[in-house]
Amino acid sequence: MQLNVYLLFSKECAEFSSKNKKLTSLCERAGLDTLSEDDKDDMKKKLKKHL
Amino acid sequence: MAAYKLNPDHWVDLYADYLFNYAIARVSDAEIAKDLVQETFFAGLKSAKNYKGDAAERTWLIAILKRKVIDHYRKINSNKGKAEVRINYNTSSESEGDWLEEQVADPFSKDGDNTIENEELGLAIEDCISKLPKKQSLVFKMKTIQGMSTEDICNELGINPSNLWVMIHRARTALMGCMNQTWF
Repeated sequence: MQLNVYLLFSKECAEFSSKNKKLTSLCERAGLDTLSEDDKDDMKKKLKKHL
Repeated sequence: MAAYKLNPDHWVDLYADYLFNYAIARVSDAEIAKDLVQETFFAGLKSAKNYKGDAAERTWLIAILKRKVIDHYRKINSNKGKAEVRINYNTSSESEGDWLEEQVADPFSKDGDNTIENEELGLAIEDCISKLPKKQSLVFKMKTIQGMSTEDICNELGINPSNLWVMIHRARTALMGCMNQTWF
């Protein structure tokens, strides 16, 4: 309860939350993609063969 | 003159996602983008002796990838490719000439600008992610970009949810700081 009240009124938490939302929306806007871990392992194996 | 040292053992961990995002923005196909990244690494190995250290390792790999993207478009725009476009040309009176409009970008469209801006944004975020400690960057990508569940991430990495949220919190704080410096 005490924690909830703190989170509700804390200036730092509000600031962090707003920045957090901004970061999430930036990531969505950028439409980032990542390779899967399997793809990366596969790449590493193929690279190793060429090393 | 001493040769500058490249570190191919770590290329996949350090640069694969960055290169992949760069490539996918240009070829719009995940499989082709993946192949181009792989080819870039091979070409990097082949020409490693030419690396003089003038640019950072990643910049050097991006330069190779650029050539790979150009080669890719050259290949699909070969005579065979052109012939295929002609076959697909629509000659019915209602939509005659439509293919030309489909090929040429609308100069009044804002989509092009947005695409470029989003691509730059994506690379800026990738750049910031690459500066995070390895585990933080992995956790952030799994949670925020791949949208994996907390349970799945914890199982895969062998950590508990508290650890996970601490890492995500640290990653997000560092990323916001980095983006404030580089993007805003």
